[in-house]
Amino acid sequence: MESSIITKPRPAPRRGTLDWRPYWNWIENALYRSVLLFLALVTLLVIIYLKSRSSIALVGDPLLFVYTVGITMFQLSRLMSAILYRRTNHLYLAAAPAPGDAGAYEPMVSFVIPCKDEEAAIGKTVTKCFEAHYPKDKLEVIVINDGSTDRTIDILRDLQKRYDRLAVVDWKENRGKRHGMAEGIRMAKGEIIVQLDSDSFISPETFRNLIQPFQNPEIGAICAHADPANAETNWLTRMQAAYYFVSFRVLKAAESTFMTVFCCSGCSSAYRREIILPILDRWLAEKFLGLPVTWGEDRALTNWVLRRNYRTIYSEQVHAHTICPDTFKKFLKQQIRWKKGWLVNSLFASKFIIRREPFVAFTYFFPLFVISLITPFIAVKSLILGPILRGALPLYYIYGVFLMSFVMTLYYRWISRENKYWPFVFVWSAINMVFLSFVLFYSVATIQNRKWGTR
Amino acid sequence: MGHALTGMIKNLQRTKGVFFLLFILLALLMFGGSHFLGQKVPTNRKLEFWRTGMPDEFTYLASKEPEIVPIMPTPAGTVKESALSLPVLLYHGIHEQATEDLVGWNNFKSQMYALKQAGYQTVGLAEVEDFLLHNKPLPKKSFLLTFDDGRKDSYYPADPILEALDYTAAIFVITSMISEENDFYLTEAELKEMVNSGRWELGSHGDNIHRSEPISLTGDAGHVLSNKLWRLADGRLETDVEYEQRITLDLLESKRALETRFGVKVRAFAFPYGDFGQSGTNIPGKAAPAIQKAASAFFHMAFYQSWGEAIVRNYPGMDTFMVRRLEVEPEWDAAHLLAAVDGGEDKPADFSTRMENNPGWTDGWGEMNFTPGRLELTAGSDTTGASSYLDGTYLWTDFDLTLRARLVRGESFSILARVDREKNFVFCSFGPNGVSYGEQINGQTIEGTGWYTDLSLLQGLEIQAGISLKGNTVRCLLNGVWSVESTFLRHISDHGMIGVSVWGPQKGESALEVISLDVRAS
Repeated sequence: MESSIITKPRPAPRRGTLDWRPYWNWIENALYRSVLLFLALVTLLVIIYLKSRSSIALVGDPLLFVYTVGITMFQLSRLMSAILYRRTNHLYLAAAPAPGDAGAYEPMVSFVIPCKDEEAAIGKTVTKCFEAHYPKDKLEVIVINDGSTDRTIDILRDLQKRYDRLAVVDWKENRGKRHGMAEGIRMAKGEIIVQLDSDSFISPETFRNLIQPFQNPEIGAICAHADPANAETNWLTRMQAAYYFVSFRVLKAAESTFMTVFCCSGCSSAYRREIILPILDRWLAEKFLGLPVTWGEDRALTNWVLRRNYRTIYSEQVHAHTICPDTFKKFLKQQIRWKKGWLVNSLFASKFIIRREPFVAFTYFFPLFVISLITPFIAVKSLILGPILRGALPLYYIYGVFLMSFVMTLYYRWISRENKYWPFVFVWSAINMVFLSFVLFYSVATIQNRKWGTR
Repeated sequence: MGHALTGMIKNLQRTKGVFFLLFILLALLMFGGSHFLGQKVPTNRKLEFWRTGMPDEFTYLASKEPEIVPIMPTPAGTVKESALSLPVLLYHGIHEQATEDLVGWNNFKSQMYALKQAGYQTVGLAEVEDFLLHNKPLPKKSFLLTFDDGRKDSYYPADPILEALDYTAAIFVITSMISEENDFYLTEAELKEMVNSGRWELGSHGDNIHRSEPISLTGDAGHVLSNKLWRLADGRLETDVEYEQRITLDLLESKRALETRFGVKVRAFAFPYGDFGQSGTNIPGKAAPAIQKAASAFFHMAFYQSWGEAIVRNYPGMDTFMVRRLEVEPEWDAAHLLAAVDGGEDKPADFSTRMENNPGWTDGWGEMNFTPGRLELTAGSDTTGASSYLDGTYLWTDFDLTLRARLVRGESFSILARVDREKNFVFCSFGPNGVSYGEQINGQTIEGTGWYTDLSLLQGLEIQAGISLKGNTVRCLLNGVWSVESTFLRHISDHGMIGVSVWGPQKGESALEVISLDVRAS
């Protein structure tokens, strides 16, 4: 499968007999895709039928009708955009030449890893950095120990004995992730900064694909494809595995099609140092409603790259692993933090995005912003007020949500037959439908609470 | 790198173009597809919707199952019982704004929603027939919804609401008006669509008798069903035979037209104008039986409008060619309609009220005014008295009734019982000549014996009065003293409504206040 991220080695054909396997594989694959296409067409028709039903029912409420059609169009347009992803990104996604090849692009790279109380994970994170398939003399790792109270610093000191290109900044007091990152970036000697979460790592064999696209001077930041490494823990992590896949391979890819990814996620992204170095102070000093912003630092940094007229892309060819929350409470906290980060940074981005990329602003950015703000109200109206006040079941609402999830799942299955978490897309949709509204309301209500409140 | 850069920018531009085209295609598919599928609904209905506004919550329309939870649930256990009586509602057209005689769309909508939320469910004509003729059980809160004339403005506004609420209706069609194309009446295609939807049943409103024609030499016009027509060529009225033949053939034709065109069984007829021969006719006393006879030849039921009748509902065993329908008036709101329908619900004969709220007192003669705490009856400017009946008491048989009342003005007041169509009842009268009982048979009063005391002294004071019925005997009560038992002069129905009335010799000069009512079944 051309599109799979992990490709299995094909067994060698047996000698002497005509091997039908490749043909059979081809036929099987063609059949599989035809079924997906057929299902997608049927679903599209069902969606259109539902819209036609609601177009009759909603005539007295034209705004609601515009909303339901608008949100469907928007979601399908994201899918379309994702389908076009390789069209614009293929130049950068080509596998990088092996190390040492003549003419290989091998700039100096610095990993910057802020961490706090990560004694369990930091060893693996650092080790994996040095395992990258890349010239060792062109790698350095900078870990900022941001006031850990556990044994993190001891482990780091141990690691330093093994890796002389590991620099450790040891802060006794916690200053926050942004400050840690800034410190690391300032210290870095690399042309490219790879920013990693303390529990994330990049598959060493795909590492070069993260650096490769920087050959193009217009590219300012690249976001790796991340999957939860702890997906098998419980249903919540499985659900997040599905959610990560959709949000990276579909939603981020869709942003990447127009080379305007709004969030090069904090768990594993690479930046061109010369772009972010001059704005570090301003990035650190960002305030919202008079208080420093303590979440969404990754979004904020990506914003700066975009604001400085560089392009940002997502690469499905770089495979990163991270740890996702395994309890519902942690999960909710993370969602709230992300929601706040999205809200504040979207407001920041709205100031420059029209000038920077009007096409993206009007086809994606502003529609998303409006829809994200309206949806919680519609959800409350349909899921709570309707049933209570009128005994009305929100059937259209639920049908709509699940049909869109179904379309998403079909695309998911199209891109990756191996990823087995796809049924959890529906679980995610259900959870999202029920909690999304509250998360946004809660986030807005507590926007002045600037505690980091992470894991 | 320069090559790659221009390549990228070109690529990006082209992709934007492709995306844009795909987006337009998708938009066309979504809106065009919706529109195309939406065509299954006739266009004018959608237009009507645009103009009138749809129900508040579209999901409401989709949520046909499970049933909408009643806001006022009926007490457990009573739900399963059969209804004792059936209200029938009548509408004509539904218009965007209410007119002098048409109900407004929003009002209709809220009336239907109110009925649904109160737990009422529609029943079909066959069920109604089984109930009225064979006393077959109906769900406790049932009603029949009817529309007259077969008009477009009944179908298009009402149908989506019926669909949403899982209601059905019967529409009484003027069959001579069915055509291929008509701006006002429903066409054959539309009627077929209605029948196929399962939400609409057809009934006859006559073939060509929903009109007036000359009924005398001078050219006075009269309803053609209840009058002999003037035969201009012959210079005479129709003969009995001609008249009967004409109306019979018309009803036959209307039934035949519906049954052959739509493949349905037509069992019901609605009198055009609600005129079954009761109003002005040039053959007084003859029209009603002739119409009855013709209708009963082809139909099982016939419906009229019970304008101002004290009783709203219909009961098993009654004349199924006189099924009364409550015609909903444009100025009634949902609460008014619901009160009228609820008021007719059969009350147990053990019944007490301090008049906190109106349990179903309906307007009879003169003027009635209900304020919490009392029921006031006042003679109108052109009536000598007033009367009111308590709906939902039609099935009451034997009971002791006492009430506290005050004769404010006028000469006497009466308590009425076993009231049937307001023409037959038994009464106790309280007046200057004392207490007496009597009966009214077909509008004729027969005075019974009295108990002579001068009551003029009690005028203006609150007194206790009552009536007691047992079999065909009656007693009257005044301030704690019961009269001796008397046997009816003539035997009338063993059940019927109760009511009160007031009377004075001069027009507009009588008034009564009823403060409380206590009834014990005996």
